[in-house]
Amino acid sequence: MKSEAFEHRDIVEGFSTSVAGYVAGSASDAAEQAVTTVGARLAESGWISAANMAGEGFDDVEPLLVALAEAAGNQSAPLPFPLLESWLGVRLLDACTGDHVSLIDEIVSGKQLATVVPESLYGPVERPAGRGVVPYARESSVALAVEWRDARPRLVAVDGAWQDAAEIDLSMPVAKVGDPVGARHLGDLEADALERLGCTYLLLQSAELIGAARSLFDRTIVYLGQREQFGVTLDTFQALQHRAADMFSALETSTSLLQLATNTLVAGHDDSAEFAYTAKGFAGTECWTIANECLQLHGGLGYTWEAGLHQNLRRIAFRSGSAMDARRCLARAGAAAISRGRIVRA
Amino acid sequence: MTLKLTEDEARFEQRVRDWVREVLEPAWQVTYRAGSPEWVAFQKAWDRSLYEGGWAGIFWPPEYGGTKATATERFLYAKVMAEEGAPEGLAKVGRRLLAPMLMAHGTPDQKDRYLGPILRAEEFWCQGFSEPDAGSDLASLRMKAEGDLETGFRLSGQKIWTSHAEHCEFVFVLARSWESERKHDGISFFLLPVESPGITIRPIRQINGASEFSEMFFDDVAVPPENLVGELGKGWHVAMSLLGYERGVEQALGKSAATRRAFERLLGALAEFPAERQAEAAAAVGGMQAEILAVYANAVRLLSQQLEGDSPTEMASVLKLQSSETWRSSAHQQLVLHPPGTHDDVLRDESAIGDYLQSRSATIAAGTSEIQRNIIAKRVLGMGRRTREK
Repeated sequence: MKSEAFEHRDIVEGFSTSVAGYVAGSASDAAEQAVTTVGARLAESGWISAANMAGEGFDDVEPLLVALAEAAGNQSAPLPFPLLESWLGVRLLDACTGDHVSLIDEIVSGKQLATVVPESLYGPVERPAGRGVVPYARESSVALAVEWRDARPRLVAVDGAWQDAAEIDLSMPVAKVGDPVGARHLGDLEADALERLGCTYLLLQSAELIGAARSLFDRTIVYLGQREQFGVTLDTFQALQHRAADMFSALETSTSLLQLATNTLVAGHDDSAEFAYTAKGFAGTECWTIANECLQLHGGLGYTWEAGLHQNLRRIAFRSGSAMDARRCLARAGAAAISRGRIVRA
Repeated sequence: MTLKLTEDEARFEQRVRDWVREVLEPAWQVTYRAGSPEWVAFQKAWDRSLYEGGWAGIFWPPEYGGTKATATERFLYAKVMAEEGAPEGLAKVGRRLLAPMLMAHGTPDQKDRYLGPILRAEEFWCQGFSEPDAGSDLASLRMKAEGDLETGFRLSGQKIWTSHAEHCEFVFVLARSWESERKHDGISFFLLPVESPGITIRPIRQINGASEFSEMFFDDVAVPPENLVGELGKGWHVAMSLLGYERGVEQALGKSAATRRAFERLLGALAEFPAERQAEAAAAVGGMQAEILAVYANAVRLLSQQLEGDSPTEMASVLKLQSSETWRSSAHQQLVLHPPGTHDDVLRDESAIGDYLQSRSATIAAGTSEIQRNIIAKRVLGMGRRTREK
């Protein structure tokens, strides 16, 4: 056995340092960050092209992308750019039939902003219309979706009016696919490739969730060690120590499950999809619980806009509910286990 | 971290599995009631099979009769044993607890006298550490050890939660040679036969009806000086000298596999749920499957850290906490998640009830969940340090 994450450590540290500079310093700055500015800087640094690195000295690109997604999440505030969707868009274009080299180049260079209709990945669906919220829909220049014709998946670029959708994450503008929807056919996908990419997206979301929860958790531990009441620091109280320990256990367990799921995907395990559902379902549930706890343990300060804890909380809430949402992931994995009569094995 | 084993590792894993399937009696858990004389005889026979099969020393260094197994091979061994439902054996306390302590702190005579019979499953040991007033706070133990290195020692006091004492030849105990401001000082580590004059054993009946533990009463029991392990008054250091995480991984994998088997018994019944409750069943199973897989994932990650040379202290506590809580909640789920109208059947299901009751010990034994949380909070997260340093 060997640790591949260890091999990517330098790259991840460099990325984390870069991203820290792009993230809003305070809640009031978040809305003013121009996605094109952030996108241009990410492209210039080569981080969007990370999705294209398969074959360039990396056996499989997923472990690297998962590590980078966690680093992106582990910031004081969410990254105001659809980085996960950009990576997924590049991988989808690479996987489908037809020549999309130019479009891929434009995405990784920042000339085009790509996003993805998440719900359409977990089809089959005939049309992507009304299929959940799409990150950076209005800001994007190419919105990719999967639709099914004659039981075969195909990649389309969605054209058409976007409908308003409720936003919880202020750094992640969203919209719904309007109806009628125009869809320009880009190419066909193999079902296996689509499943792998759908799983990859779940793993990337899980990683970002864990990174964001870890950022909140680390801040909470610092706060509990500084804030004094009744003559002692808050972290002296066993009740709070135990809650922190439970959060730590949940964070590390989420990380372990994510690593296991990533490894099964890379190893071509027959049940890798179920591992991906499980990782997203677990992380989506536990990280939201952690975020709630962190807010609570900050007391009144945590309730202020200025403290900024709500930013990562909002990103966690969004990702947990984003397709495929955490509860649905666990239910799908559970249904598969009942049908099979046994729990999936690594 | 990747699951891809080398060819040698894959062959090793298969070799272990083939051996277990050839030797292990199928459905032994059903055949032998836990704690019964037949169960004890079966466990001891299994220990001897492990020795004859060359597996008893897999966690031991070669100079003491062990094998040259790598960390990955030891992990694979533990994993396969857990998956195949192999018994723990009664020699485990001697082999996995006492033996490493003797290897680190025993005299040459003690190693010569005791290690061989432990490995060969000829002599069985029980552990006399906990007392009625010294469980989580073991260092506050009260058993007295009067005497000295010239004339020998005499032990007086009580131990509790001693596993299978009445079926073992020997016991190792911690006893207090002198009082000290620092309660960890003054504790000594002794070896003695269970049938020593002055020892009384009283089995404890557990909530599941079995008697796997005992109280032991020591009334002025004589111990020769050569049975002291390590320095007089430094026994705490001896007892804490184990590398705990490998044993923790072994235990966690065992619990995970047992939890998996128990939960899989439930899946067949859930397939019969009416349509309107299928969503409920799927959600519950998905959540439980995640917890069970997470035990394995945490164990693999701990191994990975060990292989990278990192100290896996953090993951060891997480693994113990998460695996024991998973067993407990899974066993509980078995009793509450059942097809409509079958509640009576579930409560009459001895294996489900038995699993639930036994699972209640998992979050208490070998460091309670609350202690694990204390360890994580204070030693891993450093909480309360500023107040302690004031």
